[in-house]
Amino acid sequence: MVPVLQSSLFCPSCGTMLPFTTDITHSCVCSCGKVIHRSSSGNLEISSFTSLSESDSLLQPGTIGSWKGQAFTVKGRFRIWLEEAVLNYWTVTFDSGGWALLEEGYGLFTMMQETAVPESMTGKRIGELKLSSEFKTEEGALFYLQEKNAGVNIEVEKEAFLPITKGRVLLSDFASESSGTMSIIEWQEKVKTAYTTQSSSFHDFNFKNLRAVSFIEKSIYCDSCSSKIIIKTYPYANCCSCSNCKTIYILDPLRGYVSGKTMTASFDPHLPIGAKGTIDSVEYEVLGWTLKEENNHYASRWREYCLFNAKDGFAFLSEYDGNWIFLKEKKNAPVLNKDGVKSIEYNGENFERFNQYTHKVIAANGSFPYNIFDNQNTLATEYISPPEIWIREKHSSEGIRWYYGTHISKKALERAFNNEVSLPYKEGVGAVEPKGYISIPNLAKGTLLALLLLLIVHSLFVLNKKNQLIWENQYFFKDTSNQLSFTTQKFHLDKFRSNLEIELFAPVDNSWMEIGATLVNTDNGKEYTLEKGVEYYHGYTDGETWSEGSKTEQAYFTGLPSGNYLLEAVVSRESTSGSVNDFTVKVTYDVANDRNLYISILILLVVALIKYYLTQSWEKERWSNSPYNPNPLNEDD
Amino acid sequence: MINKNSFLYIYRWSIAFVIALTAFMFYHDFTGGRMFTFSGQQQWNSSGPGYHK
Repeated sequence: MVPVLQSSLFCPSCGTMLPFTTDITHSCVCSCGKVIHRSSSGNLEISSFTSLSESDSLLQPGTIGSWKGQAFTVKGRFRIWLEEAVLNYWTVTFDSGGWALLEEGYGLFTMMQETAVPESMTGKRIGELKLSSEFKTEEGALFYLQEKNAGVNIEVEKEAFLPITKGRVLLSDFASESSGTMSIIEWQEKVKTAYTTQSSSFHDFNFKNLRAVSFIEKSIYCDSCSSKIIIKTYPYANCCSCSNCKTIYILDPLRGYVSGKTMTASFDPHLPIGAKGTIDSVEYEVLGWTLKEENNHYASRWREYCLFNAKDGFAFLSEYDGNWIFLKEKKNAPVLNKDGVKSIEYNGENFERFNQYTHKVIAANGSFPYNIFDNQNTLATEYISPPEIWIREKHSSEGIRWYYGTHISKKALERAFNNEVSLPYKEGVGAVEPKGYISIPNLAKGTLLALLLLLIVHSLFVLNKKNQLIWENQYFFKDTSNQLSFTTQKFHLDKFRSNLEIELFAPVDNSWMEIGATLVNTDNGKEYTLEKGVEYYHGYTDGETWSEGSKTEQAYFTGLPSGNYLLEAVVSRESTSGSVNDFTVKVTYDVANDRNLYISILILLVVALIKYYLTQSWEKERWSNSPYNPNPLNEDD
Repeated sequence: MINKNSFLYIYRWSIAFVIALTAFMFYHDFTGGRMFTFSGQQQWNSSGPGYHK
């Protein structure tokens, strides 16, 4: 389908030389305003498509960027009007050779690289495909249809890959669980091209030479009250309202904004239209708000605010009971080929179904990127893994769209809007409010990892302990003296910091013995003292034998710096007849202490258990708002 | 700089707790100390307070 570049092609309408710059493009806009099409055989034809001069995008012919390390230049585009959306398909040529289409609109960017049309799709008409349609590639990958759209009108800017001159183009997007995403465009019967697609954000492309003014405000006048309605995001604002009389306008690709019904209900929005706030380092402006209600017996109502940034496109803030979620449409999303799935896994993370509903709009004002009034039958399914949420919206004709959201706290949102907004008080636990949420498997895994870390750190110390015997001797009391003192020889402790264990053994029997030890650093005169006693008592009371105490005790000097030391000790025994006559003292340097490990493990397990019970308690409250509550108290839960 | 997009962000307090606990144990293992034990060990310096030239 790629035509041959002919250096001198002249407009069949005005005779001017046509500004084709690459052999990739088929259509270009002549200076006379006509769109001229060249066929692969070199024939020139005046296209029925019109030229485009509106600046509704940051990109322009001549914009440069890079993708996966490859520099590219934007050549031009065709803009296609769908029934409820408008998309740009920019033709880009890579400096290293090759080309691609860059789909752009609503802040979403998808790089499309041509591939062979799967054999199983060559004979099928996209218009006849249903949402459940699937096809298998020659490699065995199964692709499911996600979305299909019919083009209503096409416009061209500069030059574009556009192999037709008239007719309705059909677009279709497919997704596979294992092989990414694919788009197939049916230009006309039996003429299809297929593309592997990869979505990215504006910032991933490092664009330069962007259009200075990207969006021009469009004004219309209300049919009912003649008030001026300013639309800041034309042509992406598919739906808007008159702020004076609340008449709704829907954008028709051919007729422009057409008035519809008038909203009678209203509410005081917490984020007024025009308010500006910075979320995730992106400054958004509030364009509109809606009050929505679930079409079920719960009739839950929530508020949605539509936000816009020229580079990052549209985003939404959803508020229910003072709990906020920040949402954006995503092309890189889970793949589900059926409704009602209980849980999904995305990027190794498990998301549980929290809610499923259709809804109606009760009140609205401002502008929105889609028609908010024709979604009564759109089935929304929410999957949560706090603080994240995936919302799958399935529209019977438009297809499946995914929105990814994260919880945003009231405080963070107030800060984002420079504390110039007054937000409602929060109630209960939000659907994706983190509350320190950790799933039970992750809590178990984390606890095990922490246990392992403690064990490794402690083992490293144990392996390096010297357990060096410094002194061991048995002493005997003389005559009736109840005190005995001794001094060890000087010894050297060589570690930067360590401990000294004093073990006292005495064969006490219903008596006690006590040691008062003084460790003297002979280098600087510093003294460390401690006392420790052994006592052992036993007897026979009320028919039972009992015993308490121990004949052996340990005491520790800790945090000892290196140096030369000696130990002086005074040992006292009980001054009664039959008391013990001898004892043994053992001094060991740099001993291991497993007690530290056991205490650390105990603290870890206690905290993990507290975390578990708190999480369970919060989860009960969170899921009390869900029809899929795993532990309902009664039928109303 | 805290990266709020990191998957570890939601575990930040748990990670901080584990690091603090490990550091606490590390300190006691390093100095030969015993956690949560009052050994009665006292320290004296024979030179006493003050100084002289």
